[in-house]
Amino acid sequence: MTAPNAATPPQAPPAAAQPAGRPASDLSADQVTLTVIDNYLATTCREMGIAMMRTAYSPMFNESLDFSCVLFDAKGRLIAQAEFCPSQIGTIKFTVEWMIDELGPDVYRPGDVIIMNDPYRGSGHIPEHTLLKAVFDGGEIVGFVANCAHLAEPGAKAPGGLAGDATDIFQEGLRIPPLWLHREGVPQEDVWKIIFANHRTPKTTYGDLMAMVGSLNVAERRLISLIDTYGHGTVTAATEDLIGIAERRMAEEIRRIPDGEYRFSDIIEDDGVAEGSYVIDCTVVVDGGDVACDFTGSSSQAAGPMNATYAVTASAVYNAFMHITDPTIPRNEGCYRPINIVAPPGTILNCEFPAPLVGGNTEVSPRITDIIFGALADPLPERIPASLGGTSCCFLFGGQHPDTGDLYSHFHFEGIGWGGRPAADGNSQIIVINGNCRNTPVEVFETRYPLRVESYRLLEDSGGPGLNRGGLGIERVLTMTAEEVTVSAIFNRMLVDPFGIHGGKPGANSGIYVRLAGEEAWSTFSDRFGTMSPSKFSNIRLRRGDQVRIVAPGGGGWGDPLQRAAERVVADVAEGLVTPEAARRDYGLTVERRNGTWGATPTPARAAAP
Amino acid sequence: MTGRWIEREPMYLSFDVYSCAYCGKNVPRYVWLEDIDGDDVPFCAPEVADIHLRTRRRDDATARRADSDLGLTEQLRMVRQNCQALRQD
Repeated sequence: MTAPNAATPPQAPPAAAQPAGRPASDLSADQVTLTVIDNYLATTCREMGIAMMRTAYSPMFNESLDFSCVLFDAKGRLIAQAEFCPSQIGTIKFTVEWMIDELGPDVYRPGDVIIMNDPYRGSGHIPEHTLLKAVFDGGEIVGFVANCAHLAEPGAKAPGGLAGDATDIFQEGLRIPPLWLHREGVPQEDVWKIIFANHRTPKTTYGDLMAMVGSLNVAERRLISLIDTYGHGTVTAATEDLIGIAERRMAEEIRRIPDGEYRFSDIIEDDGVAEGSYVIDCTVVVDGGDVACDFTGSSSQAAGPMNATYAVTASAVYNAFMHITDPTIPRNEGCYRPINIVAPPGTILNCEFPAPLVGGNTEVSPRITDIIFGALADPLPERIPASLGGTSCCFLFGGQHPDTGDLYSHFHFEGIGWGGRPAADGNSQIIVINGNCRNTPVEVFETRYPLRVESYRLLEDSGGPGLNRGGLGIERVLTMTAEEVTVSAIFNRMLVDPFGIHGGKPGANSGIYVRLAGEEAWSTFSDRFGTMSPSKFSNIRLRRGDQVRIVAPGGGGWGDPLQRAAERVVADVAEGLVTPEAARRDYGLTVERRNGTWGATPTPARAAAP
Repeated sequence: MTGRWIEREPMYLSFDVYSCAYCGKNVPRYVWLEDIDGDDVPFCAPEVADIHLRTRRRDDATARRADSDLGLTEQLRMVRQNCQALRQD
């Protein structure tokens, strides 16, 4: 390890600098004011998002909504967020903390915009760029506004950035440390030029980054307006109170989980580069109002891009607890405080420079969340769902557009089945749990890119059988309509099943297949092109008429499928979600339609079930 | 305790990321370097280094199962408090 430059000791940290939230009776503002300010801040975040969606150039922003907008106080503590991408909201806390620490105090001026995307400084992965702006009032910094967004083109070895066979971070795109994109409102042309020169689609990059700048300007105006209305002192005190309230309420939620140690593990099936799988092992320790998630014992970091940074791991853990606790808890710094993470450096949960990691944010992140769910399935049977499909089904493509001659690049992700829940079936065709995004609509897809969607449908029997069935995955078939299209992919759950819980059965696996023009049979990319992994590869050149078949996985089932009410199984068969064969095999029911009416007869297995 | 505080200046010619040897979090600027078996080992705070020294197993430096009187969550609460205290400074 290289010794750092300076050896100046900072002030010794106090033994306990953070109180566990002031008691409710000690709040500085009345409940109405607190609620108004909390909602104003969250609404500001939503308005930032609308500005980005409406002004950006790429479908990643205006269709997929792969971005997040957050507000920080003057100390760099997160004070507001909204319903954006959970993986980004969790990591941006670390990203902004790093940016402020690295740049140091007293360096910001009104109108400055800082850009950063380095995963080894807290970003989720290179495509996700964070923009930060300090907000001033009367010459004093009163807060920071920030957004994080996935650019469809980060200048990686593969169009779209997600190279499934990357062997180091340098193959994953242009790595940007904290830099001034604008100084006092003036664009820093040198920085812009470097970015443009390294991205395949500079026009789109320009439009998307400027949409992010505009979003920050919206937030800046709103924050100043809030302070003008209530005064800086009231707003500061209120946000302090809201952080304390969030911490107390989250601690109360955790206190409802029985104290104890709960362990669960699952497998990342391969990394796109080397043979072998990777274990993620987590012990969740609940102790009163605190919880610790300890990943000691997980596999060493992967050779390929299936690594997570500490920020990604922490973000996934936060995501799990946000899903299973009261959604009305204010979403700020306080709600994260009772949640602790241990992720040993050098493991797949906290990889070390310069390991590749672009798939950690898309594939490892949802697996971590599922593992937390799995660990808490027994102590929280009324809250925990079965495994979701657990992959973002990342399909990347790019090339030269035959109509315009311009280079294009796109990151397409697919909806999956979510796990069966204690009180309901899992949702079908929903973007992975760390995403909260949408896929690109067929019409936009076909208008912008030289690919045609031949079919797009729910995949029958893909939902894991259960008392409450897992949600269904989908199948999509695409045809290349340009002379050449370069494709890449990062999928997971192609070999390892999405698990069921409490007797529920696994959901169906994912898949990505290719059929060259004139061929009849589908092949895996490994079989057809010799890629190391069938689910993680980059830069395969397809020709006009070649087809790709994407299969998104289903969610695991919750509870014994033999206990599922017959009428629910009949309805599934009538809707085409479950085939009669699966109804008989998995649910013990012979479902038939006679004289226009559906009916079901129990098989001996069901009749013998308790 | 045989460590010292260092201030990590941004470095661009050689990229070193300091991760707390206990919780794993990347430490942006202020790092506590503890001398362990002749090596400088980074931590987010000296109290955290102390926890590490008291709980590590000789035969497996990465094992963190507590064998002291301090439970895991208690240790992590201290980690959190100290990391946040550092941020406030």
